[in-house]
Amino acid sequence: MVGKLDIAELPSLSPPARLELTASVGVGLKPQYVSALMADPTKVDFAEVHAENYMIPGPRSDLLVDMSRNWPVSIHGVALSLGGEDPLDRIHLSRLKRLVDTVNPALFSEHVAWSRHGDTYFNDLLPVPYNRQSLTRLCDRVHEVQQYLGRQILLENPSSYVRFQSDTMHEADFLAELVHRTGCGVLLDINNLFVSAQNHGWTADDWLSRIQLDAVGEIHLAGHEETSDDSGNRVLIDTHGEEVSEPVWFLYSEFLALAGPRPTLIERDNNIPPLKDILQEVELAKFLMQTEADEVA
Amino acid sequence: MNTEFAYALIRTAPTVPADVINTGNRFNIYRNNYLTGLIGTLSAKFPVTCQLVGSEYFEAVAHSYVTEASPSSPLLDHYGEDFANFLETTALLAPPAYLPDVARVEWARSVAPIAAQRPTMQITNREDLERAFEMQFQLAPGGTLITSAYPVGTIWDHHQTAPVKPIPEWKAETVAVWWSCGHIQQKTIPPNISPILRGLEAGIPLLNFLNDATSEEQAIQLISTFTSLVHQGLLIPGQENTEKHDHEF
Repeated sequence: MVGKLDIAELPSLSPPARLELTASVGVGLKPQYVSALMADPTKVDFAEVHAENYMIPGPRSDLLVDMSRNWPVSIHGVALSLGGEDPLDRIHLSRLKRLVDTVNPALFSEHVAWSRHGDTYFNDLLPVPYNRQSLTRLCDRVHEVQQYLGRQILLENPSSYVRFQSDTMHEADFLAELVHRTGCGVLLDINNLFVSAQNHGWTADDWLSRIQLDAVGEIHLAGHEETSDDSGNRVLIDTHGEEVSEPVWFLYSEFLALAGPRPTLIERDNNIPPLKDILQEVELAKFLMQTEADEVA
Repeated sequence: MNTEFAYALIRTAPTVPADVINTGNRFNIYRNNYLTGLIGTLSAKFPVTCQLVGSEYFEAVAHSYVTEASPSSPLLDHYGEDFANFLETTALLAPPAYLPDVARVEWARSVAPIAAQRPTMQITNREDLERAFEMQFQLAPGGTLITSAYPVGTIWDHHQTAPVKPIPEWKAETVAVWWSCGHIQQKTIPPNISPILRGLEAGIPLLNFLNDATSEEQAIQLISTFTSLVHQGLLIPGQENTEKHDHEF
């Protein structure tokens, strides 16, 4: 059992109180942005960090704890390899628990993907076949992680470029069943949905109609690039290196109309622009959220 | 399934897992993402190294490194630790002889912020100083000394501005990199202090070096430099049972 790990039993000293997220818009915390955001925390409602960048105790993790005392933080894991076939990496899980216990984030999320096989870590979010066997394995692992962390986790829908012969389920049905069986929430990456829908010939509206919208606990908005595959067909690549595209903004508005506001992150991991450019996207997300709220009222 | 997928990602000869519906050879997108992601990680950690050989050559050598050395940890802070050694041995290109040491400086800068910190010492009076003479010291956690036959600290420093500044004197340098006061600190250590710092790092008390001083002036200079390095946080009091790898769990 995971709970036998000694290192995770170390008590965390004075964890910050959990600051809740409501209808808010945040940004991925990049080193280039830290000074400006710390100088004026009102620029964004929350910040999201990749868990793996803060797992080693030191100045960087100390900064995150300081921030989390007066600013909601969302922690986003990228390396648990929940969709993998190897046993869960217990050491990595214990690092994660220590981080989560120390920071007490408003949200914790991971991916429907795998990234480790044997001794190799792939630094990518690799696709999972959508069938009963992989669903059962994933559910078991999500149960285990939620029990171990003592909290609900959100799982992000992936962007993908290939599907498998062994697929027997639609991605949205797979995710809906995962939510139903484990009680986990959904981190809905609208860009990923748009990318995968384009790449596999799905429709985003159909996808959204198949999942429990109430389970969506966070939204990600990011950019993608368009290219062609070797057959000359259009393919979208999830790069996190471009501004959020117009069709993704439209899809975001559609989601808001269907489900109401959710904590929303402007995600940018490559080709990092000046903070002012990201803040323009933050303002647009806030505007769309407010517009939808006004229409409902 | 994962085994076949994993091998197909890291093999140089292109293969595609049987279970993958490879319309338009889209499996290659995963292979490219894996390679370019790690090459990008190395580029971010070794920016001056990259600048010195140009991005095209750097990417070629980084590609070769990634192919030989897949990450074994999800904590990519650890990835690239032996990249400088790889630069010394790769047959792919003949890099400038100083390049591996510049990469060592950059690796030191990469790991300095991710070590658990320990309290520094302040020497405020004669009693503190006399006590410090006989104490064992060590480098601050995450701190590194790089001794090079080349002016690697100056090379790195002169590549922080555009245009790059010329190197006035081509000479050997020892560079210290550590974390203090919320920032990465980097300092070129004077040649006469370098072996003493190595000795202090090895646990030899300062008193031993003071006994070897050949003049009062030399002893005063040594005490002054030592006190300065302690106050700057590079040297901290030694600790028994210190973990060998402070940056690891």
